[in-house]
Amino acid sequence: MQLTGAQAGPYLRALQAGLHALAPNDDYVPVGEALAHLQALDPRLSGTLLLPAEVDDRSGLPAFVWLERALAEQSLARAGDAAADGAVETEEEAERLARLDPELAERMRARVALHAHLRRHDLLPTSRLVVRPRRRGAVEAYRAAYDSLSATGLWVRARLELEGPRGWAAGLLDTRPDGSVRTDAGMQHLLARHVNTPLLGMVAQLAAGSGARITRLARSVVGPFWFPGFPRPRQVPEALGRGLLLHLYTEVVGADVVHSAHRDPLHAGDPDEEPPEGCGIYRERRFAASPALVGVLRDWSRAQGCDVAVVALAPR
Amino acid sequence: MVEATASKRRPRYEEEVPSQQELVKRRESLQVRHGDNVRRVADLARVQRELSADMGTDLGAIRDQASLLDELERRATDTSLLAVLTRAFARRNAILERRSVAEGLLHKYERASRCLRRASAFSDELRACALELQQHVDALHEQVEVASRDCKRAATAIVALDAAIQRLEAGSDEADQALLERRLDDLRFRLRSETLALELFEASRDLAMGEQPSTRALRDTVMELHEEMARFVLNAESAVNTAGRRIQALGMAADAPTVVGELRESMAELGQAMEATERYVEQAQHLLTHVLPDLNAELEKRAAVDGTLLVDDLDAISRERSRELARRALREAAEAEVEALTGGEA
Repeated sequence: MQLTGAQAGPYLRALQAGLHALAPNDDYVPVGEALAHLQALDPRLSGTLLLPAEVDDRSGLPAFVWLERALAEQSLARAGDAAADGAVETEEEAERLARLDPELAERMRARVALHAHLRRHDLLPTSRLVVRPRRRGAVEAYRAAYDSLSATGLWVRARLELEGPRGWAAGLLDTRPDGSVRTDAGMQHLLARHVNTPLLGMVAQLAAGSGARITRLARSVVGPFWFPGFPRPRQVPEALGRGLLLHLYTEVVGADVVHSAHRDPLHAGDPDEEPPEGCGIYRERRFAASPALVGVLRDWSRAQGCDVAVVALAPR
Repeated sequence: MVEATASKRRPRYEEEVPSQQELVKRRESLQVRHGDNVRRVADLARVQRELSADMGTDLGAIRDQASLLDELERRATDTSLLAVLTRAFARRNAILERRSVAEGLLHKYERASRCLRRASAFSDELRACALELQQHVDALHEQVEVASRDCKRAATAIVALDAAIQRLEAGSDEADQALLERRLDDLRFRLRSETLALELFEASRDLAMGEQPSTRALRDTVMELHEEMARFVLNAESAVNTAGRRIQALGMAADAPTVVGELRESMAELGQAMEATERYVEQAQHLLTHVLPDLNAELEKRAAVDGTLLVDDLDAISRERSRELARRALREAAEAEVEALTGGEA
């Protein structure tokens, strides 16, 4: 789905308002990076530079190619590439250029503003794995966070805790003297391949691939984002298509989940699902919705057997 | 019509009458500016060649992955017994392989996309440079026009002064001989001054006219570079965007057979973009090896003929020469007017 230049700004600001309202925690992709990314795409800042505004047909979030343009521009901005900046040096030059070719002058002005923004702020990466040591000794444990602009069009973070006997991670995860962890590229490929695998399958694949015990896995997703005109699943009431609706979804399997629960009105729970021994599974979907939708959403969720958190989304 | 009376005042020139030193300085500054422009365009052409080559490599790297995708699809559609028996076992490996191909493609796509952003910014820079050069061409036109009008004013004044001198010389009823001599001296001095002014205005006009062809050639070169670059960016952008969408979708194993077909189409589009890249590299090469050296040679040739701009000494200006200069200037002005009226057909 492609938005016009005039639609792109309000769409992006509505999405930012949804993120502000839901204030996702560290289980999700960093909200600061998400907001900075959306600001970069906004024609208010970047003019026509990053257009066309393409929205993912499945998630309603900005499409990968649109997000990636900002990342490509950022790598140029941070490399300090003169050919990429192409800035006019003085006010007089800028004014002269504006008289000669207003569109070009506007593009060059937007590029300077965008590059300044991109030098200051980090954006959502297409794929990133950060691993930190958690425990050393007879049991060697690590905590990892894998972020991805997933093939589903959603923004996914998988946080996992892995452990095994001393030396289990050698060659895969090596702790440097400064405490940082060097990660074998195969680990990131393993996560990239399984980031969309069903939760328990993902645990099994990660355990098999890494040779570790996965003591906790939380997969948290930003999106989908529904707005008027965007196709919703059939089971969802029509009234929910008359406003803005941003989803945050998280699912956790781990020993710290004492009481398993399923709070997702969009998908029914699987009664046959067996969590690993000593673990529970928790699933929850939260929403930021236009004020007119809040009541309808709560009623529908209750009818699905869940009491979900809904906050009001008011675009700025 | 030429006014035959010699006013006591100097003609109202649009420009101050330039001195010889000023003209020399102006010529030097034009040469410096021209040299800067040639160097700037040479730098732009070099960046362009670098970018085009990078882009060709990046697009080529994406296209080279197409053979892997073909192999994946071939395996998926093989109906031989052995293939059917081993497919269940190979399926997981195939999915893993496909996904790692997708990861690899994604990284290559990111490189191509980065290169494309740079090319897009560079295209804007070329456009800005072309506009600046066009402005310079405009300024030179303006200088030629102003200097030509001043030439006409000086020539008109010369004709009037000459006529006044002739009248006095032919038989003045002036009783006071000393006063007559004084008036003649004054008129002769003014005649020489306006003749010098005419020569200086002509030199100024010729200077600007001489600068026009090379500046226009530079402007045309940069415009050509910009047009090519803009066309190239447009084509490559569409191919790279299509590839990006399909490469990302490849991550969804369920859609793989369809996506592989689509991806092959986008590879064909990338092939076209690569051909454009190759043409572009050749064009940039031509610019570096032919056009810019020619412009440089022209610049050096003009720098070598310094003396041509210098006007003769005031004392060397004879009345005969003044008349000749004025006649020529007025004839040129008349011709220019006729040409302007007939749209250059005269």
